[in-house]
Formats: sequence, structure tokens, C-alpha cells
Amino acid sequence: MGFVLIVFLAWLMLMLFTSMNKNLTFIENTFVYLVALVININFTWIVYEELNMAKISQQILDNSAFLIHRSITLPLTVAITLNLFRTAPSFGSKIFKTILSVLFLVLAVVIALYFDIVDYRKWNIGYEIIYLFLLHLVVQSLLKYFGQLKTKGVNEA
Amino acid sequence: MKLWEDFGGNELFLLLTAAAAYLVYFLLIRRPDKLAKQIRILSLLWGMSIGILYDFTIGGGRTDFYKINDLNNYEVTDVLYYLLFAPFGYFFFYFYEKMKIGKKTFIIYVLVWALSGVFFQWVLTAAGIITLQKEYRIAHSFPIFLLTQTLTGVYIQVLKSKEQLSAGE
Repeated sequence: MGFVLIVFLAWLMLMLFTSMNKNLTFIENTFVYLVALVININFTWIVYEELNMAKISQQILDNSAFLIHRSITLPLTVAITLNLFRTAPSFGSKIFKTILSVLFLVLAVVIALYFDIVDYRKWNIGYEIIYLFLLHLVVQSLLKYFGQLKTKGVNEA
Repeated sequence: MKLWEDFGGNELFLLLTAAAAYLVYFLLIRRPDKLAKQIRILSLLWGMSIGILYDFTIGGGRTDFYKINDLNNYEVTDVLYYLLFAPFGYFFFYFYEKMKIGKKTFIIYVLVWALSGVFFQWVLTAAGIITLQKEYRIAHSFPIFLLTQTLTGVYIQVLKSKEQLSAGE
């Protein structure tokens, strides 16, 4: 059942991302997705495999559910949120959208925990929330730098 | 995480290969036909992401078809291995644009890259940087390279319809 719900969340994010009015350009969306993917893959590997703070189920469907969440749902959620940032009228609105994004990702983690897809040992939801907030912050900062490259390129040309 | 299990021939080979790849990259970005800055960063990120995605999906975890360097665990020299993928991302994008790859040349371009990828993996295996496990064979990487590079080519085609790839200086 956990696999079914995690796949549903991945599908939902994919559909939302495909159908939404994107405020980032095609290349910016790719950049956000890849940066979130690379950070998340490395972070989860270090927490789960190196530090043994949590464990991933070795059951094939549950393990696949973890990989789907890690490689599709999470980066797409970050990409959707950063698209919504562009229309946020204030800093408070950006914070609100980040909170919603983090809550959605925490919901996915709660599902994974409930269905034994992952098992937290020294890791907990609190750490996960801090990580997710920092992830949004880092990706947003890198996107800002990435956007400036285009302006610099034009000026240089 | 360890710095390395034992700094030996494979680490040295990796270091030299990465140095050579980055040297070629830095020479290419000095050329007037270099790619635009955003495309450059994206191509580097693309190359690195593909390597990381595959290695942490089939090269580690439950499947664990191969190990990088001396351990199944993360070593600092593994980071060097992933950084090695980045300039190849640039080379793929750069030559795609430079050689004006279109409908007629797409298949050849992807096929040459996929075969080169298999050859390069054979070299890395022979150098002891990659150790295949659980009955995984180098030939199994061919469909992976084929799929990855076809998707990359399709992505570049879509990107070209939205952005100018070359710096145009």
C-alpha cells in the first residue's frame, strides 16, 4: 500500500508540474530539478547508508517507492514551489509556500514511515523538516546565481 | 565516509583522467564557438546528475551492481569520479551543437556516444575504478547509455527550440 501511495504522490507532482503555468524558464526548471536531485541523492545516501541514521526497506516495491520519492517527487515538488515563488508578492508569501511544500514532503515521509518503507533510528521528522527548509533555501540561492549568469552573458556579449 | 581506502593506481588514474577531461573542457570554453554560460553550467550539471543518479540507483543500495574505487561506501575519491562526468556533459552538448546534429545524424551521434561510454567504462573497470558485482556485465551498460544519451539528445533538441546554445560572441 505504501508503494501505491508514494507512486500516487509522484504522479500527482508530475501532473501538477506539467499542467501548471511555469514562471521559470525551461532551462531554469531543468536546473532546479537537477540541483534538488543531486543534493537529495547525496544527502539521503549519507544519512541512510553512511551514517546509518535511518534504514531503507530491502523489499523490492518499498525500495522502489523510496527511489521514486527521492528522484521524482522531491525534486519536482521543489521545482513547483520555486515556480510559485516568482508570483509571490511578499517574503511572507514565499515562506508560506515553502511551508506548504515542506508539509507535503513530510506527509510523504510519514507515509513511508507508516508503511515501513523507511525506518528512522537516529533520524527524526524534526531533522527532516530542517533539511527540507535548507534544501529549498540552497536551491533558491543557486537558482538566483544561475539566473544572473544569463544577464552577465548578455552584458559580456 | 573515508578519504580513500588505499591511495593506489586507481585513484591516480582517476586523478589524471579528471585532469585531462577538465583541461580539454577549459580549452574548449576558450574557443569563440563555446556554449553560453547558462548552457555550460547546465551541461556540466546534466553530466554529473546522470552519473550520480545511475550510481546511487543501480550502483548502490539494494541493486549494488558495481562499486566505485575500493569500497561500497562513499569515499572522497568517489566525488572526483562524479566530477569526471561533468565535462563529458559539456562535450555532449558542445559537439551536438558544433556538428549541427539533426534528424539524419542523431542516430549516429547517439550510437557513437553510447559505444564510447561502454568503452570508457571498460577502461575504468580495467583500471580498477569500477568493480562489477552480482553478475553485472559491461555490456549491460550499453542500453543504459543508449537510453540516457537518446534522452539527452531529445532534451537538447527541445532546449534549442527555446534557447540559443552558443555564446554568440
